[in-house]
Amino acid sequence: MDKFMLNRRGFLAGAAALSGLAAFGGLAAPQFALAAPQEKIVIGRPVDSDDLDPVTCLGNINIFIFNLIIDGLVKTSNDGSEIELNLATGYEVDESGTVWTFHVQEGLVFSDGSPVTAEDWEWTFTRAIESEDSNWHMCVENIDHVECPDDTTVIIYCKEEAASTLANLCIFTLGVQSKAYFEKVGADEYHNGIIGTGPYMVKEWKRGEYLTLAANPNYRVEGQPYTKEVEFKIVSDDSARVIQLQGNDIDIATDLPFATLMQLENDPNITVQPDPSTMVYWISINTTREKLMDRKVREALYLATNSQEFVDTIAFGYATAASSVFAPTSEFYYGGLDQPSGDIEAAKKLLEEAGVSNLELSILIRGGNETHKAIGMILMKQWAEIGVTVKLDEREATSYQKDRKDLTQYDLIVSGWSDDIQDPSEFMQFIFDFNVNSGYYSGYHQPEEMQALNAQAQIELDNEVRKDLYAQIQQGFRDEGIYIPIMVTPWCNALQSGVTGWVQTPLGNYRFEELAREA
Amino acid sequence: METFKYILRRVLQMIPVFIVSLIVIFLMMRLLPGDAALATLGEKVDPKVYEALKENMGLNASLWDQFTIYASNLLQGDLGSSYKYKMPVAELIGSRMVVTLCLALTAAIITIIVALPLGYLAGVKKDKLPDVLVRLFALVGLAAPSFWVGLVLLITLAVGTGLFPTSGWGKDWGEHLWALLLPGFTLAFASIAVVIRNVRNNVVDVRNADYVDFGRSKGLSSWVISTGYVLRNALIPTATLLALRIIGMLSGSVIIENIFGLPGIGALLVEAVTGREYATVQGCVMVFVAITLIVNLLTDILYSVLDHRIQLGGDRA
Repeated sequence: MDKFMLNRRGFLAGAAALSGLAAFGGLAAPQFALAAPQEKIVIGRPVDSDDLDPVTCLGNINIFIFNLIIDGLVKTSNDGSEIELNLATGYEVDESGTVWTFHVQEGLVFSDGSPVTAEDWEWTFTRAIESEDSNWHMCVENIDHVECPDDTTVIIYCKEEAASTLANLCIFTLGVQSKAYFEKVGADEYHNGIIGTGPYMVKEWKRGEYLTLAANPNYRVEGQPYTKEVEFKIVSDDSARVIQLQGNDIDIATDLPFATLMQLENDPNITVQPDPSTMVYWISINTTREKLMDRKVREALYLATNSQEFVDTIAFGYATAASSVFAPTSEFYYGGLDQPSGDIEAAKKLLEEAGVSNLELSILIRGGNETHKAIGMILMKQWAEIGVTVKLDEREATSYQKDRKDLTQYDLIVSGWSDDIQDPSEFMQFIFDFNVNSGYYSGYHQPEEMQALNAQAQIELDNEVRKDLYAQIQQGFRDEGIYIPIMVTPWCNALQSGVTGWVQTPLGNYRFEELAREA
Repeated sequence: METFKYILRRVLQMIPVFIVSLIVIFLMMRLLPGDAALATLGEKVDPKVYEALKENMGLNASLWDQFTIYASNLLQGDLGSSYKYKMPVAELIGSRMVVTLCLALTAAIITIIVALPLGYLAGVKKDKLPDVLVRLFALVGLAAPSFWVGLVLLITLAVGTGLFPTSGWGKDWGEHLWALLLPGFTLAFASIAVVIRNVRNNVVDVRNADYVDFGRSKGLSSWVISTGYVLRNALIPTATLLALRIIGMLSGSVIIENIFGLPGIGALLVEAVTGREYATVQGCVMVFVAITLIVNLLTDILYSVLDHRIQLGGDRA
């Protein structure tokens, strides 16, 4: 159990120990840069949270704020490129690779001042693993059980060795929470707020209006967070959010449409901040349709697509053209693929070789989603040049959600993915496990070679080898011609110029320890 | 006594209307394409959780069973729970409905305060400058989209000025009232235009009526003619219009609520329909139906107040 492994895991453990020491020994924040920080920062966002229980919640609007309230053993770095220690100071993995022993910082307390105990760790893990109401089992299903011999040791027993173990441990459901608080308030009240060790704690939540977080007085890093209160104010209307930002009524506006970012660029008091994300849009081709079974036809559609035009037209240049279904912010992104660049002649030739003419295709798009609609319309225009007619099949959001699981309903579908963890394993399960989402809406059963690559990538511990495996998988997707990458979009935020320390990781999580604005 | 009997009869008549409305909305929600469990779970769905949620939501039961469970719970005062918000629907609607009702009430009061004098003025000054100006104002009111009016008011009177809050509805009744003024005026703007035109036309018609000439010939003062003869009679059709506008304000407040960040029921209802939150939609519609029935009853009562010749429950008008 005590054996150190000299690979990615070993490296991380070493780095972990170092950063753990730094955090543990010093526990002091870097020198504060602003003389007089504003007491409160107001963030305008379009939709309110609906559930603050990390285990039962659904949707990014809840997920993104959990890093402010709860901490896990490990976390993804702010740039999303690696995994760092969080509450753990180090860890070891046994020979089998299934038993992970984490050493936790001593003297940890929750925001209510009560100590973090072994019981809290065990309860947090057990609830995340066993709760029937959780939609996040996928990230914890490899954990068999957890034992905590004392308050500073967490031993995780996995069912099998997996490369994604560390990344999965970053999932918000495993952020340590106060068991005593849960028992005190009960499961129903727990949806309204939790007690954790993060830099902030829930102060007041007026549903549909605002959610106010107050600085955790017992936060383990002295001097942090810089701002005493953060208020998430609900301003549903995009224009109203922009107006309030320009009028200095809010300090930060999130989830802005691309067009407004361009408009705000001209305001000297506003900083437009498109933060890198893992959100990738692509077109899934339904390979069960007779007209799309021919690889040449699919390749022709790929070649006729010009992804840069989507970036310029829909995202006004704030997105980047995609060449893979992986985002470039992913550690396992393969940069060796070319983005679809609109080679009309080659596409026409391929269609001719396939003996296809007057091809008519329907594309399923989510009703009310302007990005989906715009993607469909641009495709309609681009593919018209090779004689392919595209019919937009816009269906109301909930119908779309159901119909996309039915391969008889569409030829093409606008798809997208953003990661919840810093590892592709969750995403790949959506594609490779046909029963989950029909090869992520392509109707394509991945062949044995690809399945083998994915299976190996799931357990390979050498990061370089793993990167190569995922590169082969991405090349495989390209060769199969089942997905046409479109664009990678950022988190569209804009801040008052005086705001510093704003962090939204590529996974979408907010990190506000150093968020401040001069008063 | 007749009036009391009439009101009682109307209240009793409301019961079947209410029940039929409930059945219709229950069936309509389930006839909508889509899957309530899928809509609740969102993009990334764990098949096991999906199956469990379907069972938990009672979606595997027959339509009849679902209805009997719903009706039986309703009789016990239980409107069900919201799977999205993880709270009882009654509590959810209660907190939101107050905001929307207050917003509609504010808008109605603003409509009355602004539209009645202006409409009357335009009517009595027919084809003169005041009439032209008021009609022009009404035309702008009809043409201006409410989201635009809201944003203009927000920019000019709230953002950066501190005169009015830019969003939210405050913590106490004083703050609520203050926060409702701009959205209330925005919501009222189009109604003001409609009511002005209606009052103006009614005033013009009534002023030409024989009984007004008769009043004048009797030597009644112009105040008595104006209030007791012209305005009173001109307001009878306006009362119906106003009632319809108030009902429309309740259901059409979603845009205003979005712009001014008011936690009202409009946005909740739209979200609930999109998310196939059956219990929430049924609860909201139930409240809307009840309000509509009550407003209609109050309008009928108002008729008898405005015109004593109209007797509620009587055979003659």
